[in-house]
Amino acid sequence: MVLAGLSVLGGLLNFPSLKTFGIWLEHTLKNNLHEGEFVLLIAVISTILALLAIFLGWWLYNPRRYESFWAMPAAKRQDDPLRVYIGPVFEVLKNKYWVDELYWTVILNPYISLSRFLADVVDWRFWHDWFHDKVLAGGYDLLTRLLAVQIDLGIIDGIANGLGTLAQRSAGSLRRVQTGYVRNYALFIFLGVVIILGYLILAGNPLK
Amino acid sequence: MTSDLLVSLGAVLPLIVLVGWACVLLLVDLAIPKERKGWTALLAALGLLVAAGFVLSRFGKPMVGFGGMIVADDFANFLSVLLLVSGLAGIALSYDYLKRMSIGHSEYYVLLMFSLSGMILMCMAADLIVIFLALELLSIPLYVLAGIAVPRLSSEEAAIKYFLLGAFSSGFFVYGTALVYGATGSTALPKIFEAVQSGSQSPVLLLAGAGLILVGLGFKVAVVPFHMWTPDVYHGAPSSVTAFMAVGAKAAGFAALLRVFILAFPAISANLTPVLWALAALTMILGNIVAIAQKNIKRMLAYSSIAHAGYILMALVPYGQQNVSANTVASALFYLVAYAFTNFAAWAVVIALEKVEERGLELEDYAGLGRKYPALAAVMTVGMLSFTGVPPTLGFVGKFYLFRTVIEGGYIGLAIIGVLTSLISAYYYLRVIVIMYMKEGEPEVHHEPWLQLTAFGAALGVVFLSIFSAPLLYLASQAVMWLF
Amino acid sequence: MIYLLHPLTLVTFFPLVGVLVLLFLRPEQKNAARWVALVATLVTFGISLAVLAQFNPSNPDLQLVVDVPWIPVAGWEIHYFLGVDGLSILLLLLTTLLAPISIFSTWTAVEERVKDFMIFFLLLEIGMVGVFLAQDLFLFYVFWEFTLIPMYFLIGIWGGSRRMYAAVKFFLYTMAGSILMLLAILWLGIHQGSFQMPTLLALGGIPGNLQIWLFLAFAAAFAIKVPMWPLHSWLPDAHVEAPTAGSVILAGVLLKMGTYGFLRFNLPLFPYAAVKLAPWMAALAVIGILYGAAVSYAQKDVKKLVAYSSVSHLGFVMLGLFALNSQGIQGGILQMVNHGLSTGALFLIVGMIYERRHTRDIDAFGGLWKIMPIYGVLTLIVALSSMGLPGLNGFVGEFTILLGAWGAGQPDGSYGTYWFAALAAIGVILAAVYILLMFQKLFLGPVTKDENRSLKDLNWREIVTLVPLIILIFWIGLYPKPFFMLMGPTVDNLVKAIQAASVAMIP
Repeated sequence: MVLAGLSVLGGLLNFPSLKTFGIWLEHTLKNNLHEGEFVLLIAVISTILALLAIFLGWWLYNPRRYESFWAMPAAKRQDDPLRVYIGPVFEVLKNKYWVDELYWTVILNPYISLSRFLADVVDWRFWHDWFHDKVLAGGYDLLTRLLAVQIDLGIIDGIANGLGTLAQRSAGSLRRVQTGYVRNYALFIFLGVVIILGYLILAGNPLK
Repeated sequence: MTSDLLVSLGAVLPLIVLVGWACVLLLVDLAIPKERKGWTALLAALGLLVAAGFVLSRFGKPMVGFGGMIVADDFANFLSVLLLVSGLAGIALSYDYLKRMSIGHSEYYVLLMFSLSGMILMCMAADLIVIFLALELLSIPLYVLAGIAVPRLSSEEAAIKYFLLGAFSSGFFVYGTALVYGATGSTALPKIFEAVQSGSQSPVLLLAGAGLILVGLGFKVAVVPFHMWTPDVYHGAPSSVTAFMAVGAKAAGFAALLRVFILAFPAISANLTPVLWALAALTMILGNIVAIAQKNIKRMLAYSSIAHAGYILMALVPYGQQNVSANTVASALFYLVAYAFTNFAAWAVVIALEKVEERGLELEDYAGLGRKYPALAAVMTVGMLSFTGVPPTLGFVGKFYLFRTVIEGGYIGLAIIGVLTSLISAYYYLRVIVIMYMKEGEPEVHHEPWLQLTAFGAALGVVFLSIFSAPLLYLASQAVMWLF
Repeated sequence: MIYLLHPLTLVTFFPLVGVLVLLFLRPEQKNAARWVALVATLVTFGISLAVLAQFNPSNPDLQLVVDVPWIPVAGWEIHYFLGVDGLSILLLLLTTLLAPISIFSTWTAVEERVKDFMIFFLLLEIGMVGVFLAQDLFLFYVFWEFTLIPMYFLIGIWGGSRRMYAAVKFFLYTMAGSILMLLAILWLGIHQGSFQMPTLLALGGIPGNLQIWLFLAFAAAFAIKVPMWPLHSWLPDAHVEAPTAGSVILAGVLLKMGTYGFLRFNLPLFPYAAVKLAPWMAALAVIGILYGAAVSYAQKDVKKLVAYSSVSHLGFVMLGLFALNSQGIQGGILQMVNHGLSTGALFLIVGMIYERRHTRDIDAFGGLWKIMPIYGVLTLIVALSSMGLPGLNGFVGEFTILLGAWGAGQPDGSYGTYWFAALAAIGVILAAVYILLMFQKLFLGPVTKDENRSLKDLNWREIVTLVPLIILIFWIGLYPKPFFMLMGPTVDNLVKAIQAASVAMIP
């Protein structure tokens, strides 16, 4: 009922001489659209059709016809008076041309299956579970552990500690040179002398 | 002639005082009863103070004596004061130590004074023969002192090894002197200098002689490969002797090296420098690396002493360059002072912990020292840090100065070796600190007043003199050698 | 003697007063020792605020200078030379702020030899402040090396189970770099004739190749301290084994000494080398960012996780510094402060849970949010700050740095490529990964371990230690302008000087 009332109002607003709605829309939309021309013929035809439909409705469903229809016992009568006249066509009309059902089978159900497939299989099991958790996170896990243990502790830290170990091992071996025997000490002194003298004498002397 | 003689005697006045006092003390000591042998020590110290007084009064007034063989310039004065103070520290360390170790020979102090006089003579000597004389004069009492803890075997061993090897190297020194004499016709440093400058001698003889002199003196200061006596001798000798010896012999030896090389051999520095370079590098490397393996603190300090000889030798490397040689002298002198203070701080703690029969000398014996005797541990810490060369210690300033000299001379490679070996040394010096503070233990310490005085005095000196180091640096740089 | 009462001398050496008082205390007087140290550091903080009050932000040069010849002998002039400028003012404040907070946080954590702990801590503060204020190379070196000693003791005596190894490693590793710097300092002093920064800067004139060697020698010391990859191995051990206060001050201040060194010395003294080596430094910085973040993720010990995060964060700082433009450097300095605040707070937080449960294993917790909600909230704020959430301090720093790095990516910028900025941005994501993992494992989810159920929430003392940091976290995040204003002129000057010098330089 509300819709009917509002559509009357809308129609009245755009009455040929008033045209307020059209002018308002004109200003609202861009590109300087102009409202359509008022064609008398179309207006008359559509009005006549509307009046015809109203008359048909009254004629089919008016109380007198109605009474005779509803006077028939329930088992024998059709559910709608119109069915008497157009029979099978009425089914089509009643089921709204099966638009909804068509819509469901052709578009919605396939779409839902696709959507579920994308969600469960592609997005969840493949992308989320396998790619992200196993490949990315797991891979990152492996990489970081590799870096932390093998490379950071093993190599980089190892080099630092290795230097320390090197110093200690050198100390250990060099210390054995100190034998405790005076003759060895004297030998080293002598060797030192030999090397020093050898170098000094043989390496040339610029004092000539 | 008489006036010459008087002047000469005046030049060696501190020596005369020292030697005379020592001789008198030897006799006086006979009269002192056994229980009061402390008097000998005090009298010896008094003698040192008197001698020091004479030296101090002569600052700024260089004197030459004995025909130029003795030069009492500021260089000698500076070192003499250092040596006398070391002697005082040595006496302070020995005061109770001798009793504790049952070393009954009170000739100890007399011998110390004689050795000291040799060291001072070495600093004043401007003639190779006098240097040799001083060398023997300082060494022979040290041989005896090393062995004075008889009947302890290691002490005897130390004395014999020191004597044998010392004699061996002195032989090289004399041979070198002879060769130089043959090459230049004189043993007096000024004359040698002239002869070398004029180029009128046989270079082979000269170089060989210089090399042998280097060997002889290098033995005394413990340069690789003439260092091998050091661990055994430092270990075996009584600790107070070692403490004194470490500073005194080095100071004297380097004094002679500096004088001889800078005064006599600048012209042949081109030949000698590579040798010095190699010796310095080897000494620093070997001394520091082998110290890591030591578990006995005396041996560790012995190797550390070898390493420090290397650092000082490093400053000697650029001696031939005119503008650098002044810094060579100054930085070496400064470092010797730093080394002396640090050395006495460390050895004082060693002596405090040492027990009879050579116990208490392992590194483990220091465990827990930080907790039980924090002051003493702090002294040792200061000593270790100063040896490493970490601010704010005198050792750091000293090393800074040494490295500056080396870099000025352009020997970056050697500086890098020096710096890296300092890093290596940090490892074993730190180890002592770790053991003291971070390990648990129950150390036993002897509380002796003179010992503690020396310990704290040395440690305070190390820290304060590093912050207010300007006066000392100034003195060191002013201690120029008498140039003829 | 006016230099004794000079504000910079006071702010550096006032803790010494605390040390002297502490020396007279007996070991049993633990609370007295704590109070003495706390008061000393608070007073020092107050003095630093006074310094801030006297600081003129629009002046780009050194301010509040005290310059006294100290060791003038044998041709070298070492001065006792302190000064503060836009580069150091923020770090000075950071140091003096973190010190009392650290001491307050250690109130119950250290029960053994409290007096010694406090003495070392105060000595450490002297060294750190001195490093930031020194303008004479010798003095700088003295303070720099000096900080090693108390830190070494703090780790070695009051640390964890492997403390001796960590302390020695810390000492030797850091000293290794410093001694090379010593040689470079000596070279500069000898050949340029001065150790004072203004003189050295005015002289300039170091040939390009030589600049690179000197740069590298100084960089050796600083890169180890920052720490830059791959010289970072000492950090995880040092942090894990150090006591809480030690870790806070180590991460909060000591690491900044490295980045500060680059800023104060490497960039101004060796501009040619800085420009030439910038891409290399940036490469190492970016590796540090990514590597630090990745390795952080793999850690099972919470302290180690935070330690590696420092490597990552300071990689950002280095990236900013070597962009050699105003944004990069200002972002870098701000990020230094930010890192000090957030990572300092993180270590405080780890310390709090360690005090309760004596474990740092990340898997030993879970669901703490329900049990210790205050702790959870505060940790969340700090964690988000560390991650760089906009609105908190970390974002401001990181964003500015990335701006700078992007700017440096232009063909005439110091990097010449946008790759560094791009990779660093990835680092931001990786940071979120490990921080959120840590937060999740500690706080979220059900309470899985029964030992956690009875844990007490933070007491007022612990909250007080965190509050100043959190306030600053929000302040810098929402209104960083005052901080940028403090640094601006000096940084701009520095950037101009570098550009001018490197253009004029003939390699």
